Amino acid sequence: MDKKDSKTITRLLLTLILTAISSSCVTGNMQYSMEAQEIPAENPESEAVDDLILQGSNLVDEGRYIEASQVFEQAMQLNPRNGQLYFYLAGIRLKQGRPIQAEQTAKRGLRFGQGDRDLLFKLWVIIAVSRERSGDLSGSEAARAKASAIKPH
Amino acid sequence: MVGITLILVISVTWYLKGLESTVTDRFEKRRFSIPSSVFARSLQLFRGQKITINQLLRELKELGYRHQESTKHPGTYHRPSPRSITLHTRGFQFWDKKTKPQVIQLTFNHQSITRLDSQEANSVIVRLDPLKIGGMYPDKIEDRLLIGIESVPERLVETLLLVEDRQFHEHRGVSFAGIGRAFLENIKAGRIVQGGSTLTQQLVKNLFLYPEQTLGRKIKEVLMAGILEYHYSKREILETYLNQVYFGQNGRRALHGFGLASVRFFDKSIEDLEPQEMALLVGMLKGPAYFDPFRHQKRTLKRRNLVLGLMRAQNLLTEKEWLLARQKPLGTKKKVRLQLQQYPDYIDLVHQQIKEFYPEDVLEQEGLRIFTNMDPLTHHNASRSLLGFIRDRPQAQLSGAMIVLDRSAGTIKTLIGRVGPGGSVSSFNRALSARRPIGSLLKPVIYLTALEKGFHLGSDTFDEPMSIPQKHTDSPWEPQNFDGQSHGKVPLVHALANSYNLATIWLGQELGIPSIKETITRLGIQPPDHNYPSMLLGTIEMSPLDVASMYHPISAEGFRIPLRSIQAITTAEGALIQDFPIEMNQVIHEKNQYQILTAMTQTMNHGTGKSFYQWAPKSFRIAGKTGTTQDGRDSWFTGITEDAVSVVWIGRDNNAPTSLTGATGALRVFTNFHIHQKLKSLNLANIPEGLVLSSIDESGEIRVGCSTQGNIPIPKEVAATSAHTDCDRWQWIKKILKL
Repeated sequence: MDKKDSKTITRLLLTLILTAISSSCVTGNMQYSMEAQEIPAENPESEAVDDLILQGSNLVDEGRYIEASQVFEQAMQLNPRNGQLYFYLAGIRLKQGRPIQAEQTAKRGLRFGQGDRDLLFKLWVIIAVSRERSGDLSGSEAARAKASAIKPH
Repeated sequence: MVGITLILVISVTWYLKGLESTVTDRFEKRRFSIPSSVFARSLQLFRGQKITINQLLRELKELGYRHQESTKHPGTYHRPSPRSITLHTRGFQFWDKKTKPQVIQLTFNHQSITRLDSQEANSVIVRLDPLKIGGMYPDKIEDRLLIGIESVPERLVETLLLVEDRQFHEHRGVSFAGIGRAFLENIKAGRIVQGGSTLTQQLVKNLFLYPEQTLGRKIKEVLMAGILEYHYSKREILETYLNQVYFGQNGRRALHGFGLASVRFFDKSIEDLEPQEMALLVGMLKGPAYFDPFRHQKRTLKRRNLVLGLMRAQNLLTEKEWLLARQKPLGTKKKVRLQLQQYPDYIDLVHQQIKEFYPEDVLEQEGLRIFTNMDPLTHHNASRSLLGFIRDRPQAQLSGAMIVLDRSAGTIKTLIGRVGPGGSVSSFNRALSARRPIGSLLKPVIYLTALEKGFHLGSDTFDEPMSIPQKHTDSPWEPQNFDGQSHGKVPLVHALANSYNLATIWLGQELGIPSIKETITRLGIQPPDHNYPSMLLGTIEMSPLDVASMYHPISAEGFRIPLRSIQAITTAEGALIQDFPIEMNQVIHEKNQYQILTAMTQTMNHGTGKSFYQWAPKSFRIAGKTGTTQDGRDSWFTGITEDAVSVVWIGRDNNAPTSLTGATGALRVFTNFHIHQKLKSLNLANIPEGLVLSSIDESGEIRVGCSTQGNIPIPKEVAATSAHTDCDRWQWIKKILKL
């Protein structure tokens, strides 16, 4: 096989991969729009909760922590089992300089993180940082160890 | 002589200076003296929102939205089909942002919104303007609906000046022509029949002086009117007059201002007044009691038509308008109820939670805007359930209280406590202030303490007759179970589910009363000083709000969250003063919280709360506890669902016995509430690490095996030593085939 052939094959492969990716995107979109027409029976408020998460995140970016906090709290009332909300809320408490509240909020979030390694990792990191900021260094170390056990790297 | 003149000039100047500062201080204060407004939560509309079309219509009605063919204006709606609504929302200055009016289309199925279309892009959630549920009023109750002069129709202002003060724009506070005219009239009559006051003088009289007329007071009034005119523009004086002028009494409440008078007499806003209505209001000012349109219709109609005649003479009305207007009846609406507080029970709560931060005069005068978590829809469902039950039993003369909290956030969605004997309205708020023995509602706290001290739900308790010596009397205490029976060795979970007294006292004595008091304290309630064993059966007294507060951590993953009625407080102009964010503090270990909550579902499935399932499907999960005190003096129930913690109390104010138990009273009210509210089934899916599900039979034998085996959580280490069930479903086939 000469150089030209190998280039053609590479190009062909690349095209195939790109086509596969783009077609999966299309399928994904179609699925999304079909889902959007029907409200999921399990959690009918999910669309509103997603919107509130977006609103809350924007408010955090603008530094409007008081408003953001209430938006996440509102989302929590719609879906109290969404562990992400506790993560966001704990993050706001840290930014507000309230590490003890940040730790408590993240700890409550752990109850809703079962099976979600990413979330559990993030919550333990927040707990570690919060404890460090409130002067509980050994507690912080223990939380860091928990985080590392979930994601060793 | 010069000296005397100098002293006189200094005295007069000093007097005038004093008068000036009184006038300006008071005027500023009165101009802006508005009671704080208290708002309910804002109803959020979005796809998937659990609300029926009728519930939305009820909220719209309360908010004063009008049903019209066209939804051109904010505050209107149209119903193109039974399952859809077109709605033109009003804009509102919330504590966090200002919303704009917008037109939305909503489609419903039998329980929720299935579609929301809006002209605005990104309108996933639409916020309605919130209902004003009341205000913070001073003792001398007086209210005004503050209006800006720009919203007052020109014709009304012209009519007012025509009747009350034609020279308003010319004089400097005092009209000597007017005084002269009044003087002549009074001499003719031989007594004071006419005041000759300008609007400014009337305002001064209203703001600073008493109604009696003496010469000294008249001079003071003239001076003050001059000062007012010197410091303020005609427009400011007129605006204050329009808001201040007295329209008589409405019960205990003094009616002030054209804004409120339009609502009181015609049930409409000032912008919408018709000519004859303007004429009536202006005509009334001469003597609000004398020209009371409800009591003296004939003379009031005559007075109104006199004003209409003046309006016509000054070309404020066309000939046609005048003829039409004078033929109309008074048109005052008797049934408009200007309730001072629409939800006084909740206002009591807001007041209690706020008074430590703000002095009374600030609450009563600064026009603060208080945004609360009160949910009118929940309130109506709770109120109709509680009142319905009490009114159905008029002979029993029952009173009641009910509280509903959001489980996850600890916000107080409704609090009802002013339900007096037989369902009458009373001023005593039982939900906040009635301290009653809580009976068996204490049991989950005792069993929680047991779990914390190493017991588990399968541990043995001993439900056996006992005799306990008492300190202050020779006769021992011999408690009994509700059914008079004793049940011997009983697993902890069954003792709680069946609310066995003897087992509980045995357990309490094993644990020691101080350790139970420590748990009560941790849950946020001050326990009694004494250590009487009778406390174990719930002689401890609490208000329904205390009970809600104590149970909330059991529901909320073991976190204590201060219960909140208020979201945020802003100034009258909308600037944020204070927010009330969620705060949490873990007070129960997750394993113990999960176990006690699950045990409380057994109370509902098999124990004292099982009558609930006559009205709910077996698949609905709820944790609960009933409570009854001696001779049915108190009937309690606490229910925990996915979305709410609810507390109901029923009893008699004089503490007399009733024929009710927790199950036949408070639980019935709660069940009815659930039917209307459609509470969400409790989710117990996230089992904390270290627990496994098992089943425990009546004798206390624990069986651990597959997950279908049972639903009672026990610690793993206990499971390891318990009987294991072989849960291989195909075992019997394997046996037959000898595999």
